[in-house]
Amino acid sequence: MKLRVTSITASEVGELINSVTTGLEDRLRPVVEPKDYGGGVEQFAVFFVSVDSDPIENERYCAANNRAGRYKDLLTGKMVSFVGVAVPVDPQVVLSSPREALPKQIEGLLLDELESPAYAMPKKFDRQHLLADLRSALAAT
Amino acid sequence: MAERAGLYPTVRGDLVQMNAGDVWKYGMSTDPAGRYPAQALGTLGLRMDIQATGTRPQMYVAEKIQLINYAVSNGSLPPGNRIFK
Repeated sequence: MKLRVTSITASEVGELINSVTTGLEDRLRPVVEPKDYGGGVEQFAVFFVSVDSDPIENERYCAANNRAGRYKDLLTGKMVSFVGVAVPVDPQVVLSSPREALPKQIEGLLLDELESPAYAMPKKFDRQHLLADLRSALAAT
Repeated sequence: MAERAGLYPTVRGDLVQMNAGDVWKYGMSTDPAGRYPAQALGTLGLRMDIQATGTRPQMYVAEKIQLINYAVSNGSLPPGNRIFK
């Protein structure tokens, strides 16, 4: 299953979060991509959303990405079945955190979100297996 | 915006070298998170940067200024923009 870790952010936190998401993607891809987590899911997409410190306003940007579905790959033209998860991150927390502490904080938010996702993921998608793999990969690196 | 340095496709059908943080497309939407989510962000290695919010006329002006500034600096539109609106 392919993995994408990306972000939707306010300008002032974009680079800070991008440095974490690219590192996270590099660390997790070797763990997740060789495996099949069932349900015919071809891609797991993580969207860190850090647009507004008002949780309700930030949630507006999460809703569209908390879903499973299919999309047409812009490069290959093939349909891709995906599971998406949006992880809200308070921009003020990003700005006030020491840079070295930010990756752990953001990783923790991802694990929390996957522990109790905001929507019902496909039944045959083995979320618990994925969560266990992510936990052990993040603990090991 | 590009997440990493590398080759990115353009809407004109070719590839362009971009650095991390380079703009791939300027756009505006009443539902930004819903307009581009999995398809563009999932496929192309891009992230979304919300640069401004406001009324529709304000955003049309802001978008046009960004496109003109980009074109003046780079000699072309961003890789993901097809036309000057």
